[in-house]
Amino acid sequence: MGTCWCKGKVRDDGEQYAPATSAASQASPADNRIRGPKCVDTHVVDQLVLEMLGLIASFIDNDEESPVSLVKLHFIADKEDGWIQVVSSMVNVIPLEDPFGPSAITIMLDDCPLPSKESVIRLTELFALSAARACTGDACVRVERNICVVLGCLAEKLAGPNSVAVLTEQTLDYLVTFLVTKNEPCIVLFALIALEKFAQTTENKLTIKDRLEKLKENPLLVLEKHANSEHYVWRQVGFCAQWALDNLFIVEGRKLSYEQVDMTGINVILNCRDVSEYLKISCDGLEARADSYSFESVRCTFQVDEGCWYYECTIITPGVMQIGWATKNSHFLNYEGYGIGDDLYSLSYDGCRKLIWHAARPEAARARAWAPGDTLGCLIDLDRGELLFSLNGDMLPPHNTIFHTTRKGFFAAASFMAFQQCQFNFGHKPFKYPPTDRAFSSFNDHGSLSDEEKRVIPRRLYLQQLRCSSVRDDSCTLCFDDTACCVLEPCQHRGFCSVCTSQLKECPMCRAPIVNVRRDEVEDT
Amino acid sequence: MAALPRRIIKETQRLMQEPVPGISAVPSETNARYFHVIVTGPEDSPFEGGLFKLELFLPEDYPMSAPKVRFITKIYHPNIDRLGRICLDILKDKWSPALQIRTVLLSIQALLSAPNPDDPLANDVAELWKVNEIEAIRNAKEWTRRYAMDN
Repeated sequence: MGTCWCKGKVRDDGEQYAPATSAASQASPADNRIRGPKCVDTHVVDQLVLEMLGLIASFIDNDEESPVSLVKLHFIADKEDGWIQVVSSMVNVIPLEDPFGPSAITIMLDDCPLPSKESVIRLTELFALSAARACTGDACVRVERNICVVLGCLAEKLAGPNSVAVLTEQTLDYLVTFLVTKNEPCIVLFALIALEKFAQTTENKLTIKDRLEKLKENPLLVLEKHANSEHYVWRQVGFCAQWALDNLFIVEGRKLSYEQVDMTGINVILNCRDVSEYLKISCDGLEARADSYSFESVRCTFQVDEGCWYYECTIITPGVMQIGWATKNSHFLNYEGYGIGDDLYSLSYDGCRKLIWHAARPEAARARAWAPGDTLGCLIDLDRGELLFSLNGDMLPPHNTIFHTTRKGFFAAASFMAFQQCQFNFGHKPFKYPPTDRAFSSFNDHGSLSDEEKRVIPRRLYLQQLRCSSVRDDSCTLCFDDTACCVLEPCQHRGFCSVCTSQLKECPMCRAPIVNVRRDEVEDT
Repeated sequence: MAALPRRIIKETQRLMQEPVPGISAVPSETNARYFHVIVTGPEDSPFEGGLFKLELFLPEDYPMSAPKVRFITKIYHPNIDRLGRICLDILKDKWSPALQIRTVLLSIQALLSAPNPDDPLANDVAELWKVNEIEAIRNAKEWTRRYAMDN
């Protein structure tokens, strides 16, 4: 690991290492390279960024010390001009083909200290955003794609008044102009994601919605038709457009996707009640995507305890996903970067880094890196105590370590790094590469879902429903879920349920050690 | 989503209905565990007049473990490092599930009023705060003007 694909590709732009002409010269249409202030030799910063990109691929231990190049980049970015230089460098040199490219920009920006509002404005001025820039035929796809990624990150990090300040008329022109089918799909995709992130600030959301409505035809309505495309980048565009129409930029008269989708014959889906916050799930519950910096996870609705089971996953994006199996004991710690395969109760395959994960430890898999369109097969044989993965039908050696700690209660499960997407087949349609060496069952033949459970409603509606719910007076003062029935001894503090109490060592009110727990008489309250 | 505990719903409702003076905490529209927070710099502190943006996230086992909070606006303070991480006991070992989002944010506001250079997270800042408080306060005011005003 750690090989850097990008090094050979850096010099695809003749102007790459030309010295910046002046401290704040603007990008001219003829030369798309963004020329930021020059605190440090441009070549050095570019090299550090590429080094960092290579390292992210091999950076697998969450507790590892930050790599030296990242520390150096942070040091440069600590000064306002330095920050602009680092971001400009990322825009200039991060190659299109690298599956880690966009996530690397997100990670590096997230870890850098945030600059002042002026620096952010200066940076966007340096980008010289405009509808014209987006229309230029000879625009460098890499630079424009990277600018869109950076804008999205800034919109998210600066949510609030600063995000409004960045979304100027020109920024909006630039992003909206990209939203047409004649453009490179990877730019359309990240322009769309940037708009989605700007829309996290309500004022921006209204501005964007307004702009989309003023156009002759709402471009999102055209783009969402690609949701089932066989072209894997357009498919992502379609997915994101549909999600935006269901969640952010609601169009009057358009039925929400979940109201239109035909769920006949689908008996198992991804569980939209058992998923971390930012994962996006398609309206049929069988495709998932993450666009946030965190590591998002989901389990399916069907549990297996015995027998032999198989499902398949179509890889839509080539980046990091950890796909496999997890029990309910496996926790989704999306912000800490822990997902499926990162504890004792789950095991997963990561075809980007070619690793099998269990208990947060990776083991090299002898396979090529996966690519969009590949099929990952996941087989669990509970009778023989074996877990097997296959890539386009090529079986990898079996695993059994997970069965030392866990024998049943497994769900199909997956985790996603930023900008990754895949589609599941739990057996509602024929498998592409069914295992031939043993008999197996499919979830879909044995699962069942009520109409309510089949409904993948947009998260905003779900949260609205939740916020209207009320709480009983005798609820536990810690969780408000269960009845308060315990008294702590010796301090005599009360108002806690038995579930919460069982997790306490000292009293939440006075920090006195808990020696004994007594059940409260109901009349007492 | 992993079933959202009523505790979070309840706290959110109360934050909306009875906001804490000088503090705004608004949940993300799509993530009920993520709050956009703005804390006003307390009067008579070097942070007066500043609006400080923070992010607050409720981890899966909240309220059994503490919220994760960090400053997004740059701030010159001995207990806050350059990535915005905060050194505050109730966010670490002194967390109690009886504490809430509002009490955490009030404690952070109090930390702005009373920096504690003896328990530092930003060592260079703490050092200056101890040997030359006047200059440290001047820096803090300058940073407040530069990064936390006119936003």
